[in-house]
Parts: sequence; C-alpha cells; structure tokens
Amino acid sequence: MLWISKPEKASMIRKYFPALAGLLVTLALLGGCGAPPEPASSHILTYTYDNDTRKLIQILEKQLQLSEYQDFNRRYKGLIIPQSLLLRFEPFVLALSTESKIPAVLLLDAPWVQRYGVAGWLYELETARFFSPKALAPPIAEAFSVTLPQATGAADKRLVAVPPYIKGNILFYRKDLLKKHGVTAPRTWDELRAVCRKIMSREPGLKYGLILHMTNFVNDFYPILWGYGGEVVDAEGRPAFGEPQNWEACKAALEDLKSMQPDIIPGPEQLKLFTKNESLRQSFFQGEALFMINWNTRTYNFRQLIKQCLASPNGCLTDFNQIGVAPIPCKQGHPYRYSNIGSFGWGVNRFSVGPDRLWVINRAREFIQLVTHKRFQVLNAEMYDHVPSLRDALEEVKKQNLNPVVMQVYDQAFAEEDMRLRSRPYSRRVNNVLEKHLVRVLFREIQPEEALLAALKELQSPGPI
Amino acid sequence: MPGEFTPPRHSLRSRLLLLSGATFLLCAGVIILFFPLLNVTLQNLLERSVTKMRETKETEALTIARLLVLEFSQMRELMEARPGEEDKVDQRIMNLIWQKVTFNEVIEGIELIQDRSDLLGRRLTYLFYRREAPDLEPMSGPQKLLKQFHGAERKLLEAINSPETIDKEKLEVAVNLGPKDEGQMLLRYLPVHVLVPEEGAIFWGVAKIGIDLSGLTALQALQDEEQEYLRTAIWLEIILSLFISGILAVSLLYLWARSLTEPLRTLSATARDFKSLKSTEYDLWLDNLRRVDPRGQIEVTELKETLLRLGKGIHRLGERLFATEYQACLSRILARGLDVLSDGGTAASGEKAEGRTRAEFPPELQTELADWQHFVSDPEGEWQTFDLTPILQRAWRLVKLGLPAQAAARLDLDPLPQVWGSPGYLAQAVLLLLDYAAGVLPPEGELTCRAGPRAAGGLQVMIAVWGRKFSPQECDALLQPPKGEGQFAENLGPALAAAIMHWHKGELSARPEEPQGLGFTLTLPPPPTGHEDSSSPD
Repeated sequence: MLWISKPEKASMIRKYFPALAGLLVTLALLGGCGAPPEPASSHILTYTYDNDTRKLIQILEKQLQLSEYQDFNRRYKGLIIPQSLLLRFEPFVLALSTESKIPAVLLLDAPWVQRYGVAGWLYELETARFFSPKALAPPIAEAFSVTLPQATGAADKRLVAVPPYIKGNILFYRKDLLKKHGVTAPRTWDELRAVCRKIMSREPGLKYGLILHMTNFVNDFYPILWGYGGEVVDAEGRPAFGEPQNWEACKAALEDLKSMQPDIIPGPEQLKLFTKNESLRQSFFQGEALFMINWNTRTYNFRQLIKQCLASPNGCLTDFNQIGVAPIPCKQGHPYRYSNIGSFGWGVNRFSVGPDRLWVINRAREFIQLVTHKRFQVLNAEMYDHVPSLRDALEEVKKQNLNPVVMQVYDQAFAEEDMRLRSRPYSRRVNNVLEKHLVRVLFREIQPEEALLAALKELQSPGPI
Repeated sequence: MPGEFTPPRHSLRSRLLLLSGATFLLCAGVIILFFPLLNVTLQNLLERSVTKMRETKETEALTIARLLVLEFSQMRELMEARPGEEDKVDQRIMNLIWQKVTFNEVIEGIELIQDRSDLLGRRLTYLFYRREAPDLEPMSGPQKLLKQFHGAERKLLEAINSPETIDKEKLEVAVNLGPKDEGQMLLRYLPVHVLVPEEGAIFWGVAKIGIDLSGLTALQALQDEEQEYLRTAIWLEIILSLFISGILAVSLLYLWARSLTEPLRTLSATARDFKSLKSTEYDLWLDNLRRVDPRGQIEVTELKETLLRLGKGIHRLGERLFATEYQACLSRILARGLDVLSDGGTAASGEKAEGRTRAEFPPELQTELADWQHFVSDPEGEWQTFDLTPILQRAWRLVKLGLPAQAAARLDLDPLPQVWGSPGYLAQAVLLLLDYAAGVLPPEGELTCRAGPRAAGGLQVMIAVWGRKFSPQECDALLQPPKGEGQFAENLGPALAAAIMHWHKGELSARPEEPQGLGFTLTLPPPPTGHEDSSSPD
C-alpha cells in the first residue's frame, strides 16, 4: 500500500490545485457556453410511392421477416403521385425547379435523371457515400450518371440515381427457328434481313419478320437510330437531328425500316393492328413474328402466357426456350448496338438536404440501400424477371440458378460487349413531335425526309398549345 | 548572506488579510471573465435568433414564391404570350399578377420574365410592384414591356434552367441583397414551367417575386435594442454584485482574520516583552502569559504552556544559579582563609601582616569559622530594620583573612543608620562584592571598604580595589548578567549583588578608579516609614 506523508500530501495539493482549479473553470466555461442541442424530431423521409417497390418491401417485411425492412412505413412516408399528373405532365420538374424539399427521394425515369442531374437538382451519390457505381453492373451505372462540374473545374460523370433493375428494349427472336435453320442472332440489319428472308420463306406460320411498337414508336426507333450513328438532340437536350450527320443517319434508318416493309416489317395496313395494347407480345407469342423489339421485362409476360397456353395449346409458344434475346441490331460497320433504357432510378432531391437537414442524407442512404438491396433485387428477379442492377445480385441469381431467364437476358443482351444502354431525349416535346411525324413514314403517309423536316420545323417554332 | 537570519516583516494577520484579498480578487476576476463569455453567448444567441428569423423569412418567401410559380404553371396563356400590343392573353396574365400582389400583403411585386429574348437582349416581361415606400410613386398597374437585364441578374436569368457551370447561389445572393429600384424587398427567382398535356412541364421563363421585408427589419432593430439593453443590464448586475460581495468579503474577512489571529497576536506580544524584561518584572510577565486566552486554538495553547514551563524553569534556574554562585563565593573565601591559616606561607605572611604568633591562631580560626557560619546560614527570613555594620565587619574579616600578604586592606566604618530589608540577602550582597574585589586584587594592590550614612538618607558602602586598570565597559558588564549566546562571566557576584540591591530599592554601581582601580558604590535607602512589621516582600 502506498502511503503519502502529510507534507507530501500538502506539497501535492499545492502543486496540483491551480491546475485542477483551472481545469474546472475551463470545463465550466466550455459546458456553459456551448450551442444548445437541436430539438429532436421524428425525421420521417418522404419518397415517391411506387406500387412494385411496395409489393416487394411487404414480402421482405411480412413474409421473409427481414429485420431491416421492419416498420418501413413508419420510417418512410410514401407520396402517391396521381397517375393523371405523372403520365401527362412532369410534376417533379415543378417540385425540383422551385426548390421544394419534398419529396426527398424520387423514383425517376432514366431521361428525367439526365435532365434533373444536369440541372443540379439531384444529390451526387458517390461522394456522399450513398452508393458506389462499382457495385452496379457496368451498362446501367453509365446510364444513371451525368456529367457534373467538379471543384477542380474538370467535368466528370457522377452517379445521381440508383436503379433497382435493368430495363431496356432488346431484340426478341425465335431461337428454335433460328437454330432449326442454322443461323445465329443477327448483329446488323443486313444480317436480320438475310435471316428473315431465309427463314420466312420456309416457315409459313410466320407472318412478320420483325414487329415493333406503333405506339411510342420512338422508343424503338432511338436505339435503331443510335445504331446508325445518329443523334436526335445535343448534349444540352436541344434538337440536333438537323445537323448533316444526324440528318443522314435519321434518314437512312427510316429508309431502311421503310424498305423492310412489307416483307419483313408489317405494311401500313397490318401496322394498325399493332397500335393496340399488348398486340405486339400477343403476335410474337402466337408465333406470327420471327423478331420483335420490346422491353426485356416482357419475358415475364411470355412466361405467364406460356403457362396459360399450356393449359389450352392453340399454336402458341409452349416453351420459353423457343425465345432468344439479343441487342437491337445496328448498321453494318457500326461498333455498338444500343438499348433505350427504361429503368427507373432512385435519386435524392438536393434541396431536401441542407445544413439543418443533415439527417436526410442518412435516411436517404438507408432508404436507397433498402430498395436496391441484393435481397430486394434477387426477389425481384425471381418473381418478375427483373434483371438485377447490382453485380452481387446478378451473381447470386446466377450461382443459385434462381431464374435462368433473367441471366439469359443479361448475358445475351445487356452484357454483350458492344451493347450500350442509353436514355431517350428527356424532352417530351421532342419525343412527341418525332413520334407524331416519324411513325407516318411507316404508314406510308410521308417520305422520311419530309417527316424529318416537319418534325424539325415544329420543334424550332414556339410551342403551339 | 546565506544563513543570515532575517526578521519577519509581516504579521500572520496581515498575511491572512492579504491572501484573502488576493483570493477575492482572483474570484472576482474569474467572475468578470464570465462577462465577455456571457456577452459572446448573448451575441451568438441573438445572432442565431436573427439568422433563424431571416432563414424563416427566406423559407417563407420561397414557399410563397413556389406557390405562385405552381399557380403560374397552370396558366397556359403564358405559352401564347408575345411582345407587342396588349391582348386578351396579356390581360389575363397581368390581372392575375395584380391580384396576387394587391391582395397579399407579403408580396411586394412580381415579374414574369420570358426566357426568350430579342436581338437587343430584351425579354418580354409582365410586372407589377405595390411600392409602399413613401418616396416611391405607386405603379399605375401591371405592365407589359420588353425589359433589359444587367449584371448579376442577367447572368442569373440566363443560368436558370441551363446546365451552365456557374454558382447560382452566389448570383442569387448578389441580386437579393441591398435596396432595389422598386423598394427594399427580398427577391426570389424561380423558373416557371408550364404544364402542357403530353409534353410535360415546358420551361417558359423566370418568375421574380419580391417579398416584403419591413417586418423583419423592424424585428431586427428591436432585437438590436434588446441586445444592447440586456448587455448593459447584465454588466451592471455583475458590477453591482461584485461591489456588494467585495464589501461583504472584506468586512467579514477582516473580522474573521482578526478574531482568528488575536490569541496568537497576544501570545506573540507577551513573548516579545520577555526581550526587555527586568528581573523584577519576571513574575508580572508570567502572570501576563497565564492570562493569554487561546480561544480554543490548540497551537496557541501548546505555545503558551511551553512558554510557561520555560518561564518557571528559568526562575528555578536563576535561584539555583544564585545559590551556586554564593556557595562558590563562600568556598573561595574559606579556601583563601584556610590557606592563610595553614602552615608555610600563611604563617609568614601572617607575621608580616599583623605580627601575630602561631599560638594566637586558634581564636582567629574560631572567629573565622563563626563568621563563615554566619554567612552560610539560610538567607531567607523576615525583612526588618537592622544595622548593617556587623555584617560589614564579619564580611571584611572573612575576606581580609585570605588577602595576599603584600596587599593592603583598610576598613573605614562610620556609624551607620538602620536599613530595611533582608539581613541574609544584604549580607550575601556585601560578601559577594568583597569576594569579587578580593578575587581581582593584585598581590601588591589595595582593598578599601568605607561605609557611612548618606546625606539624602540611607547609607552608602564604597568598596574599591587598587592596583589594576578597569575600563568603563568592563565595569558596566560586571553588573549585567551575561546575555546572548557565547557570553560567559567567571564571577557573577557583582551582578547578583546588584540584583539584591535593586530588590531592596537600593543601587549598586561600578566605575573605574584613577589611576588604576575599580570602585563599587552600594547605596541603600532609609527604611520606609510604617514598616514596623518584619514580613518580606513577595
């Protein structure tokens, strides 16, 4: 035991008393003059409500009982957007352009992501450690990144939204027939023509070589045009198809499509049949078409149709193995094939984050991690044939062979080396004007050049109401 | 010089008061230190509240502006707006602006600025400001005009809805601050998108919305006044509280320190008296020491008890010293007498001095012993009036017997008056003086003793030694007991004799005698009247 004599004790007290007193005074000063604590609040994050997401969340929360998804509704407030507003207008522009803090997290179509990201309305996700683009499959990460000016002055592509799955239009084909006739999926339009000519003459059941949408035609036309090296708008979203190179590419693409009528692409009369809902998939399912351009998510519809058809076969497809997928062809000599991306991505409203609302960053990070989580994506792949956007989720689906169709679409379409995912122009006006004029070419109402001129003229004039 | 003793210059009480005062000043300093901190805290608090108010106002302005822009987004007439003469479309737009500005107190004015500009850089603008400032004329009504914008405002308008890499926030701050042509207001610039079915939100231009700031300005001025008032009030309160606490502290500390140090101070003062204490005041000093009240302070009690014990010890030591010195004196006298009376030199010297024979020695020896025994007896006894002559004679006989053979001795006794005192102690005083004188007498010197009455009353005895030189300092030192460390006296007889004389209200003085000698003068006062009793003084 250590004994301290009285003089030593007194000496120690004399030695340490001033320091102790100073420390106490300092602590008192520091303790008394600090900033007042922030008042506690409920901190409920708002997000744009999405039915498909909610269904999956409910399964993860209720059926699979995953702890991280418990009390989802209490932590995050879903804002339901009226369909009349969402489909006809673009309500998020009004919210973001007027610096509204609500909603904090938005589910955005890929073209919107480009527009809002460039305008500086979305929070950059990588720097704030929301999400690393490296976790995403390569083609999709690029599509949800925008070029943002950096502090160094150099422009750099940054991730501003995270898609929970990959959706894009691709080329569906009759794998059984191509295999039967010893040909492979075409890479170019010339090859597609050749395949059509070879097989259609030998397969009387086939009515069309290639079918594509007649409503929202531009969605199918854009990847075709990109495969011809053409652009509709410039980097800032202004119409650019009047420029010579683009003009020629547009004209060539339209001419080629027109030249495939009526032998390969349906003629004007038959095309009218494809203006109805679900007509395209029904035609392909009935075995009428050799090729079809459609969203990759149609695999789910085909599987459902095949199930129904097995109960009462009526000349339709009976096995999904009869269907093959590939990227939409490009022009001979062009290095890339393209898909018009249809994925939605979760982005964070930049105005919802502020010095007094730092909690939004944490909550938004949590939210995005939940709705893009590997478990979420794997379940989505299993149930709805949605191709996961996460590398981990893709590997999980592949490793456990949870859904071969999903991996078939990814491996044979999106993961092709020359495949590029791009989003359509974000201007609805550009899309609508092009849709209105270009589709008339296929209906033989107008020549390609005339259609392009009419579209250009309309876009350059002030918008009539 | 190291090791040199430096006497303390400050008392415990003054040190305590000084330390207390210093402690109080330190505490006051710490308390005063809080004032700047409090000031800073107050400043921050008020600044935060002003900032919060401003932010709230800005948020409110943004909300109002947003609501207006959302309303403008439904106004599809905007898409038909063209420069030129006013038409129905313009009227509808301007009427809406007028209603919003006129019927909303918070909105100072609105400008709707079309994105497109003409070759001169002018933009189609619809505007209306209420202009409530007294120095501004009210606007006649909403206006449609082609307006040119400059500087930061033009840059801001060009930047809105374009991916240009400019700092929009800086531009907003630049155009939002400071007075405007239209009056003092907070401006908000928000893009106007018109909702067009199937086409979405089409960018049309910019809404510039002015929000009234007068309420905030007034509130800020009030805050500034309140801040100044609070600061002054707190400062005064701190100073006043320090002043009052200072007075209280000084008063209380003084009283406490005084009360606390009083016993030690009294003890110290009593102990200090010891330095200048006379032998007659010794008992008084001990009485004073006993009267010191420790007031329960253990340190003072212990010091007091120690001093008392020392005091009593010194008293006993003095008595012992006196007795020892006197016994030594008797021994020396006896030794000298016996030496003379023994064989050898004593006889020769006796024959030379007095011419006595050996046969005569026994009666002298008997006298010698009788005298010696008289002086050996206890000096204590009752004080009385008596004659000093027999004492002088006996003492002279004893001392003379042991003188050197060549030395001369003379006794002159006049009839002496009665004296008042202790016969024993006065006999000791006389014998001590004579013994000393015999001790310093050179072999061929001379010793004289004369006694007689004094003119003023009482008697005087003068004892002188001749044959040796004495300095005045030596004479003074003879009558003083040795004081201080290292001082030593071989014979304390004169000092003790002086003390006895002092005790008897008499006096003993020593002085050098010319040409070579030392003289003692012993004076005794006449007996006091009324002292018929024989009790000794206490």
